Amino acid sequence: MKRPNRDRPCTPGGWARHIVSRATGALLLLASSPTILAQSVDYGALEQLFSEPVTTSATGSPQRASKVPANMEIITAEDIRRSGARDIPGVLRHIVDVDLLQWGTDDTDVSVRGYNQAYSQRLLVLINGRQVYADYYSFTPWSTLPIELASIRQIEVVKGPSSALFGLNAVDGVINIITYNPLYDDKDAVVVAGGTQNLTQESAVATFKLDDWAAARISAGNRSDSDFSTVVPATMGTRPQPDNTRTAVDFDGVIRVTDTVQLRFEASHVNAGQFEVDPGYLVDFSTFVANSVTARVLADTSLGLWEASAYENQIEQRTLQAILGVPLDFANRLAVFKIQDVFKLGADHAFRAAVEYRSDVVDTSSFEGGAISNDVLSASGMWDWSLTHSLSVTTAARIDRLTLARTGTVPIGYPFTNSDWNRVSDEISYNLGLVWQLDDLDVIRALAGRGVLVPNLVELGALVIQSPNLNLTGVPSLNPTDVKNYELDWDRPISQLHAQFRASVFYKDTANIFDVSGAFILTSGAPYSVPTNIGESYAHGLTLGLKGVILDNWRWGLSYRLEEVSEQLASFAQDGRQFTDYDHSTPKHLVVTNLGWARGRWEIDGYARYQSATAGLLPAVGAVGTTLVPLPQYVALDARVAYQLDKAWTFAASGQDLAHAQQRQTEGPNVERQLMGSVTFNF
Amino acid sequence: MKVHPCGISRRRLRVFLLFCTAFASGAAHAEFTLSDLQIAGRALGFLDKPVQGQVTAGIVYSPANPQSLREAEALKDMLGDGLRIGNVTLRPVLIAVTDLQHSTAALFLLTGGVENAAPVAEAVRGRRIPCITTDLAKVKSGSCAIGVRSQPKIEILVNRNAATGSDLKFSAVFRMMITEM
Repeated sequence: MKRPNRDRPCTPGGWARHIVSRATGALLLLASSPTILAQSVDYGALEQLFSEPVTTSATGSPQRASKVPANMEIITAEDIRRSGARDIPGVLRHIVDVDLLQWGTDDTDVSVRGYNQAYSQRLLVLINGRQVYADYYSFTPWSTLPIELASIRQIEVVKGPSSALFGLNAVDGVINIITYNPLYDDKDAVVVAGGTQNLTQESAVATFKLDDWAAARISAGNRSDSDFSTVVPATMGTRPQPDNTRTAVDFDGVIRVTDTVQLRFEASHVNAGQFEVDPGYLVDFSTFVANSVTARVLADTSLGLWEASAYENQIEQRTLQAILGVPLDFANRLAVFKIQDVFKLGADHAFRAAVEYRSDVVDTSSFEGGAISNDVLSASGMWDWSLTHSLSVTTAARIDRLTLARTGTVPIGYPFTNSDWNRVSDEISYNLGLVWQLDDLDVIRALAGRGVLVPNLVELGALVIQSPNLNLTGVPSLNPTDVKNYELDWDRPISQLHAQFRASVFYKDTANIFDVSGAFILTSGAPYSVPTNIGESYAHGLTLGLKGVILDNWRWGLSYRLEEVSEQLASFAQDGRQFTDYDHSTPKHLVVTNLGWARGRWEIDGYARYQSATAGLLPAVGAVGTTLVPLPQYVALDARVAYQLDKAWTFAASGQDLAHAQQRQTEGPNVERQLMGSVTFNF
Repeated sequence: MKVHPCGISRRRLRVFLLFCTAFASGAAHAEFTLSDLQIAGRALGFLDKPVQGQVTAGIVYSPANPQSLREAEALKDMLGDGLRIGNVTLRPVLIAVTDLQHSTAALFLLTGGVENAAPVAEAVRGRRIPCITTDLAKVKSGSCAIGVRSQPKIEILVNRNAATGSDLKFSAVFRMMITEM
């Protein structure tokens, strides 16, 4: 695997030793804490105790889902199983506030509350707190996530900015995927599936325990399929030929060092190749090699719940066709070290304090010889104050100091020198939340948050493409996007319907939107097309949701979202003439509903998703930019039928987009009906 | 301690509101239900020395109060020969509040009819014996360290002074998710 070129040691062994060394130091420090107490977050035990999911994704402190100062939806393992989905975007499509652009069988861009686009930037995705969002290009290549669906305990969807906890780029929402902890959860399953589009998929999850002091889970998966055979619009390019593939392996081990200290180690490797639509709305085929290693120490002390973690992500992306016919090859390395303490002072005050350092570097491409880096030093804190039994106020803030740099050589005639990247900037993000339990039934939340989306390393200059008539590159002076969100939520159980109701109204203000194109720098040779800040956007909306259980065997849900987006963009970027247009592309109306029945050995579930008419972006002919194309309203139907033969064997048939052989959902190729049959063996 | 403008400290106000809620729902003097026992049993798993395996659960009653005895016997029937909750199996035994010092129970379940529960606090002092009740007033008074209720919402109330007096320590995670006073 190609490694980022940077003026410091960067060997795999070196970083592994570095991480282990830091983790061991933290372990010794924490193990020597003065007083002992018990246990880390045992999601299963806490969920059983409180009869509801628990989470740490709202404030960093463990909380019951009903009490978090955030608008959060938790997708349980049962929801995942009964979705019939073969991947995580397939699970997320049943959530009304989640928007999807499904370009192919394996390529889907996901966002929260609109603002979706190719290589969706504004949603931060993590696994157990480890970022799997690819910084260098600000997107989440879902095929590179190393985990299998059977190893997921829950998927936490946080709506709105959450940068004060998770850091930069958590501007529209966060998806934190929580896997089973092998120390507490014994999950063993093999799943074999096949279906249309020549799908074959195998996955296995196995947990091993050594008494109660050590445990490990190993999961592996393999998938192969052909992409849709529907027509690709001419301006998006020619459909690449290779089939989609994914091979993944993930190791998750936990050692109970003492009654109060746990060491968790995770490592993963993924090889994936997929048809995709790139940020310029051109079709391509990318191959990814993604590796990660994580070490985490948790200690429950009289000084609070300490966590020291270090992880490194390496990802290499090679494109087949790419921009101006020039293939790209990005090798990105992200290393993060973090230490935090969650503690309680007195009976009414909970705090979190954290410091984090992250180093992010990527090679330039297609011009080789340079590297762009963005190092971030952060400090963050949270204060949760229970004013009364029914009223709590949470304040969280974070400051990030970003240090941008470029090393290596620049091409001849390049309009910048390395010193142009010598920039230091500070970004502040915050979350404020008030949770008021009016009575035994009603809960009101008032929320405000600010998140920061930083331009990715490609937009900051890692992209360097030279051609006779036009050059492409990034610029170091691009301003970050600033997203502010204000929200009011109301939760109430409706006992007559055995249902839970939630209403939310929100207002979102986005400043300093940047676009992958829009400006030109003239040189003695061909001009350089570069990204630029293009304007502002405003959104307001309403979400209404009901979900419940009737007659024990039936579960149902009905949700509706209304959202209106307006923009004030530079004249050259208006009406979809550049690569960003949230106004026309965000659907005004979304409805998601589901009905499921389970009895004895059978489970039957159906899902429908309605999206009102929108517009999409297609590359303009003969110019750098895009044009708007109208997209019709549509209803997508999904379903799953499963029969559990015994405790071990389950047979299931599921489908996505069942109503039509093919359906127009995006400006890209039509989405085809997908059918899948699977056999699950639990052991 | 900060004092509210109306003369009530914030902590007292908070506890007062909790009691108002509990009384309004009829839960303050409620007898143990199976759901309450489930919560109590699972909460024991979050002690620094979790109560595990087969343990004797002493059901504390007042011999002077027939209602208390009836409640205790009903609770004993509910536990039967032993009720398994998570990693613990509770085997019930009736203990008069006047006879606590001779008890070998690993935990006490304090019934609501025990008007003078001060002996309970005395009996568990420094002995790592959890006292659990559904009568939240007993938690407020410090007679019992842990209060639970399952309806209309699951609530766990811990008196920190009483817990410290009993030499009980809970995990930081657990403390974040409950109400302390």
